[in-house]
Amino acid sequence: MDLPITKPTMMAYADQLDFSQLLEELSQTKKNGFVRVTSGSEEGYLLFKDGEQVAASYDNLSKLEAVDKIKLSMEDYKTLVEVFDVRPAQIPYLMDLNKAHLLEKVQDIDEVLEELKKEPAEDETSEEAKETLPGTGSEAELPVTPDPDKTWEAPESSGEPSVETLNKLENTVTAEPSPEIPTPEVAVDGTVTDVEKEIRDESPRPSSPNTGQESAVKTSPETSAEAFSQVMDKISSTPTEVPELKTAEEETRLEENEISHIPNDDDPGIPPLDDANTDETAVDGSPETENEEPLDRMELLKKYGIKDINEEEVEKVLGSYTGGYLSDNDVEKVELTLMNRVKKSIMGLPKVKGTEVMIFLDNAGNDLKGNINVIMEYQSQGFFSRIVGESKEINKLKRQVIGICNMEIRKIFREYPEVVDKFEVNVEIS
Amino acid sequence: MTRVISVASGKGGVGKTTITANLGVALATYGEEVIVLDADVAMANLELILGMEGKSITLQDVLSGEATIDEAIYEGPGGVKIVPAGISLEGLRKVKLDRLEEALEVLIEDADILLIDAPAGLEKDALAAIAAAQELILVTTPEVPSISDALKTKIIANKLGVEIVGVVINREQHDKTFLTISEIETILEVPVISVVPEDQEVSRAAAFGEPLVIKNPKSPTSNAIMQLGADLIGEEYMPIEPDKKGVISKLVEGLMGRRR
Repeated sequence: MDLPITKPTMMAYADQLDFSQLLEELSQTKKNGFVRVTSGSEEGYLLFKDGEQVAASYDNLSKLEAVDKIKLSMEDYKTLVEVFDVRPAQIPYLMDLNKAHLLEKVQDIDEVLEELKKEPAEDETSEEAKETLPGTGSEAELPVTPDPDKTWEAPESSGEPSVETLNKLENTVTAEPSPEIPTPEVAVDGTVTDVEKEIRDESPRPSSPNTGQESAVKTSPETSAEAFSQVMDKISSTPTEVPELKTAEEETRLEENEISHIPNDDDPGIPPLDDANTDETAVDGSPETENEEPLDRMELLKKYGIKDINEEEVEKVLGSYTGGYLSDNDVEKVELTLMNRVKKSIMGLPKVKGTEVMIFLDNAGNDLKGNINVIMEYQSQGFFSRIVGESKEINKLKRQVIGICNMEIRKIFREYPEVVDKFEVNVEIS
Repeated sequence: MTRVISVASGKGGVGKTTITANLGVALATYGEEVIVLDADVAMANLELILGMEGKSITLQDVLSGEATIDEAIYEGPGGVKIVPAGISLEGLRKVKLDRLEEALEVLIEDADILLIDAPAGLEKDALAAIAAAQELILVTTPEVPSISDALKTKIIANKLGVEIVGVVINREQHDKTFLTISEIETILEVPVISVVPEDQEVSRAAAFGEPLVIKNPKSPTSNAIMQLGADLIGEEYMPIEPDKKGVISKLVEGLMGRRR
């Protein structure tokens, strides 16, 4: 599991503390944090949220198997137990990060965990008769008595190894002989986790964290062993049995999910792609280990800091597409309008006797460009003035005319003031 | 009736052009008459990916009024027809985007499917490429910035009345920090129709100027794109499995630095 390793608040070896009592204390104090157990080169983690165990991992094992392995590791006096604190606000993120290791909330699993908290001595008295299972061929490998000194390794994927797993787990609880477990038809990889995943992948995804097979256990059995057996029965049942396990509520939610994923009816070419196909196109078969709850869009947008676009912004974007472009028909109109306005403004200047304005708009490129040529007749003050120094006044007048032209361009293209820079203004004064 | 499908993303560099080029070739292998139009006249890459650079008449010339669209159609790999955008900066000055729709009207007479490789962003040229199509395929990577831009593109496309076919998640790497398929579908409110994995072969194929679906049909990316093409037209596709090499031979190749 990915957890923040800081300074532990408590540290002890397995023979120095009572692990079950530690779990009890963490539960009573509504602990937010995790316990790390280190046995040799292997590490196990139990994540707590408000005193409740929400995730477990041990080496490459997860969930219930990891819990069992953690318990077994406590039998080794050299196992180191550390307790770490985590801020309550961090817990949801850590749970999200370690989705693959989350423990499902099931009453019966809670009871199983309660059993695991019991003393190891009680477990040794609960020997199960060996059961001969059809077609396994691996009965010799099924241990009758759990050996505390023996390191329990995950069974190899041969024959029907999931049955071994079931037997292993059954041996740890006080139980009546459990009913004969049917051989699963689906070849699985030998762990309960994989069986769950297999069933989940092959059946439509239920939307709640409680998977079909677990939430189907509706009644509360008299003994924890019966409950455990029932849970294992459901997990080991064939895929065809899965539809029976779904509750009505989940079926309704599932239909809604399927409907939301079906493309539009007027879609010409694409056949309906349901979740199974979508998963199949996911190359490398990435396991969908995320939560089954329907995702809230607003929460996701908030979580990732993605802003939704409102209507106003959409109109603005589209405005630049539909309104910021001059068609050929409009070019002449714009030229005429601009010419009249510039002429009128120039004629308002003092001492201007006449003016001629010519405008050419270049709409060929991506940007609008243009040329404005102004020819003006200016009332001079006499021959002498002309020689001596009308140049200053003329320069001033030129600047005024250029300013008038720029202003009129901006007035016409109010929303695109940058267009002004694309216009060239030439003024001749006689 | 010709299907006009635009491939857009919002964000640049997510693999639109690669997906479009290879999807076009994939559809052509299924027997469809496909024309792929590179509408990114400013940053034309389609012809580079397909090894068709240097064509004399391109979409730029058509949009500048200097050539007809028929003169800008070339036969590409796998039987797909290509209209390259042209990569001349000089030619950009004379481009008029309102000629694009006229050009498309001619193109759709000859094709079953017209794929438009839209430019990135939401400028006029991108909007023109999106608005010119009936359907839109959004391409994104499973990263937040890409999803954010894809969302904007999707909303704009909806406003333009373009039907969103679905989302293609490209360059998937199964990283914990990336968004999941469900999250992407929830945010974009559009189904994911394909997940294309990150693949070094893509760069290699582009360097060779060959579409990946031809150069390396066994790669996961090729299979994903072929499957996408099949899904678009309702065909069946059997993925081609890569050759299984022994661990030792792979190790030896790695140590000796040999690459195929």
